[in-house]
Amino acid sequence: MDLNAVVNAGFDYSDVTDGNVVVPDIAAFEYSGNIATSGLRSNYDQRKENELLDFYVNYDTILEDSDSEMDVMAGYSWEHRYAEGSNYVTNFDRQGTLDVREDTDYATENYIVSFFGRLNYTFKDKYLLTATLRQDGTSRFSEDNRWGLFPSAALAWKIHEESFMEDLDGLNELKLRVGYGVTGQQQIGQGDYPYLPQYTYSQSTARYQFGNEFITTLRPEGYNANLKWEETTTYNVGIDYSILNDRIFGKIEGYYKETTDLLNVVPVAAGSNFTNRVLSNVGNLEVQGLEFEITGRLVNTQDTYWELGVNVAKNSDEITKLTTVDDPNYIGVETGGISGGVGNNIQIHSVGFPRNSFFVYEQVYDANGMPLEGVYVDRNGDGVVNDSDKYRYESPAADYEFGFSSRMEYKNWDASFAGHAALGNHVYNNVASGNAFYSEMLYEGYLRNAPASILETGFMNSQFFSDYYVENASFLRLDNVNVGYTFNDAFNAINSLRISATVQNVFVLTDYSGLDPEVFGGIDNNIYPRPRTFVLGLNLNF
Amino acid sequence: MFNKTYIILFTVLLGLTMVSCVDDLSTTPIDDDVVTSESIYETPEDFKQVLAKLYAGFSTTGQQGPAGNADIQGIDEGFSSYVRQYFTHQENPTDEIVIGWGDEGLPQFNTLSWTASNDFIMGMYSRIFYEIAMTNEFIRNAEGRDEAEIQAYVAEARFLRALSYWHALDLFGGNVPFVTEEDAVGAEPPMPTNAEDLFAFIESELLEVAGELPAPGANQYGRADRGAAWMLLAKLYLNAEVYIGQDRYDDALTYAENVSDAYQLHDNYAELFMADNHTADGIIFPITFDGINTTSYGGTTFIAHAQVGGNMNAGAFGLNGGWGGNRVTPQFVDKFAVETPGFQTANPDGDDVMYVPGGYQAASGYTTDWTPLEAGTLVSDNNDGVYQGYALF
Repeated sequence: MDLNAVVNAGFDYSDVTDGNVVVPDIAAFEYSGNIATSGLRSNYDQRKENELLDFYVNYDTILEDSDSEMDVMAGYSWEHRYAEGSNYVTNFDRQGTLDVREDTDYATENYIVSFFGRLNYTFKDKYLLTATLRQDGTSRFSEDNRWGLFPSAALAWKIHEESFMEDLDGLNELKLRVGYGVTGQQQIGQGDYPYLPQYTYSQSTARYQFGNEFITTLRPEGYNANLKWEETTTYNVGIDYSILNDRIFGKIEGYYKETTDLLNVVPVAAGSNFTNRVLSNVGNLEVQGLEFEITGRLVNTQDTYWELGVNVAKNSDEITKLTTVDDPNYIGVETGGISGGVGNNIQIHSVGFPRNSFFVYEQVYDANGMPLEGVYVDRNGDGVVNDSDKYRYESPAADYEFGFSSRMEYKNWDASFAGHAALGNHVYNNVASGNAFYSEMLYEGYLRNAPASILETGFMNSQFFSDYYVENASFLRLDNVNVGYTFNDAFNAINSLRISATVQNVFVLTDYSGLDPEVFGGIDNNIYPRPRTFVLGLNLNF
Repeated sequence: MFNKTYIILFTVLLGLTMVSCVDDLSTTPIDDDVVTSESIYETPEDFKQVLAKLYAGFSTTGQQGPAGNADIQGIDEGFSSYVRQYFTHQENPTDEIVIGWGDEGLPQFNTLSWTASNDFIMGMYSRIFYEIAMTNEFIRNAEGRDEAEIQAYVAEARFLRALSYWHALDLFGGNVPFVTEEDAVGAEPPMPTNAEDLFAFIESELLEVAGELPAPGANQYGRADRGAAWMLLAKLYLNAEVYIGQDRYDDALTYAENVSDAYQLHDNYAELFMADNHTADGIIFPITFDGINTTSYGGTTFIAHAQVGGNMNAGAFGLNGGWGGNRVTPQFVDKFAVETPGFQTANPDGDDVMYVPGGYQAASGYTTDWTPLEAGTLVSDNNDGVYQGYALF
């Protein structure tokens, strides 16, 4: 029996002051025709304070009468995040003519308060129960919607401990796990007061003229008084196994997640708010996956050891709801800004499709398989090719992901490798779409670089929205290979000495035409290859 | 004993901190550029600052200027300017201008192939209803205030709302959402109206505020007066046949004459397009821009910069560079080829001239050193405002 009380207090403080100076005599691009107001001098300043206070009581006990153990915990936590900063940008010479280009500052804060409890209960060391309950309050939502209640429960059954399993000699571990849990999300990237009606003053560069006077304006901000917690419910089932004297072990796990009241910036009914996009609890998302993990100790003798591990995961996701009222004409939320043009998006969140699906035109090819510039399929068959002919084509998420690793030892030698692979992940090649066309290459009479795909497309002008640029980026990458030799008792003063050689980023097998098939977010603007590294190592133990 | 006291003391302390912690969750903005709506509408001066935003809704694109802290989302802030959007919608689909940029949604204006999901259509529509929502909020908060200044501001806000509703009627037809100061923010989605009702609303609002607004020219520069309301009535009546199938040409004439009686034309047409045009005669209702105080990448900044490109000398237009966007088509330039009957090289009779905008393609002949002085002009032979299509190159 044990009772503990714990108090944690934390304080994080950071203060950053930084700036830039561009001397106009040297930097021609900052020369505006008048030396006195040319150049640039900027001061940037940011201060952050995070405070944290945690208190909890833990009580654990062994209940011998019922052959069980229990531990109970209850507590609360309080968190305060504060940030302020400023930007001041002028011409280089502040002593002479002062040309203030930016003079802004900001300050903001938020609080989170939580009450939580947890119960762990183990019966006969075979049946395990964990239940938690927490109530979280955030300052980002109104008093009515501020609190969210999030339960979770998990059960585990060590089947191998059961008497009826005793006869199975080869079984070392078999454990069944079942879990359910709800979590909340309130970090929204839309400021700390999205539910409050607020007004913002304009800067001096956005005033309006009344007579001979410039008036600082006051703008009403869009808001949503009904914001509440986004909730994700997860169900999972798993089996941990180990057989043949722990020669083969691993796990199988399946999960299903459903997010409701998704916090999402969506179009608002025209005229009903002081913005055309407002943060709302709109949308449902379903994610499901199956993971399989197996590790085998294939050889395990006095001199030789070889372990090989493989894991496979299959994941899929689908948006099931995006608007409060079902609207079949609503195409979705555009996302995934690309380089090239202004404000162009290549991805979309739409109902019935995975997140970040590419939203493109279907390219038409000639008899030789070459893309025809600006010729796209009239997918809806209305006789014209326009926005309505765009379609959702693949997404950056992989259908299958694999990992593999191996470790071998023979006497004093050791060797290992590890790698990973993905199938069905797609990438939009923005390096090609943004540069591989002749009007860009021959811009205003001088030559610029263009990716080699220009030879295949022959495009004169940009064709950002062609599905030609959405490529299958499935790959297999060998991340590292390592070989080493250990000398024992080589010298008197040295206990052991190991010499090793490692290669990192050994190779990638892929059909993707860009530099690297692994692109976070699926929009490739990468022009630097990932380095291959060779390392020779020497380890000494004294 | 000690333990018990300790525990009680601790529990009490804990209880106190928990209560205060929960109270922490009721925050209000701490940024000095931000205020909550409760403390906004106190003095007439407060109302004036919001009124300034109602006007600026046509001019600036955000609270920072020229870009930053944008008013509307889902479109580049510079693109989102009310006047820039209006120009794009009114001019780019015509034969007068094509735009040379490939930004998603723009080329469709040259080829008349936009759809409802076009970013620019969304941008114009959002701008119009953003302006309407702000004017409604202002009028709602002014209810019950009897200060003369505030009531004068309300008449101006109602004029601006009528102007935006007229843009909605003109560009999107009558089946648009209809909201007034009676509709609370963020409530149920507004119901659509129809052309007849919307026309009647705009008309009655304008007729009413025309009586309350100051006489033509009597308000401060930049603010609406009775002349603005009359002019908008004239435009509304002029197109009544299209909007609601009624012939209102007599009314259009009445209000157009009211306007023409109240103003005189500036004697030098070209000066109307210069930076100090606030001193010119004949401006009924300006949307103001200023290179220092009212900045944006829309409005006149866009109109002036977008038409300069190629080998044109931006400095000759008083610009720091061209954006190479708007231009006329080669076919338009060909209308004024040297072989055109009536082509002249001088204007000896001093006829009225109209400047031909854009036109920097090679076909226009301006391969080098394009200057406004050499710009193409159309002439009105009899100085009666009928431009015959002569060109003075």
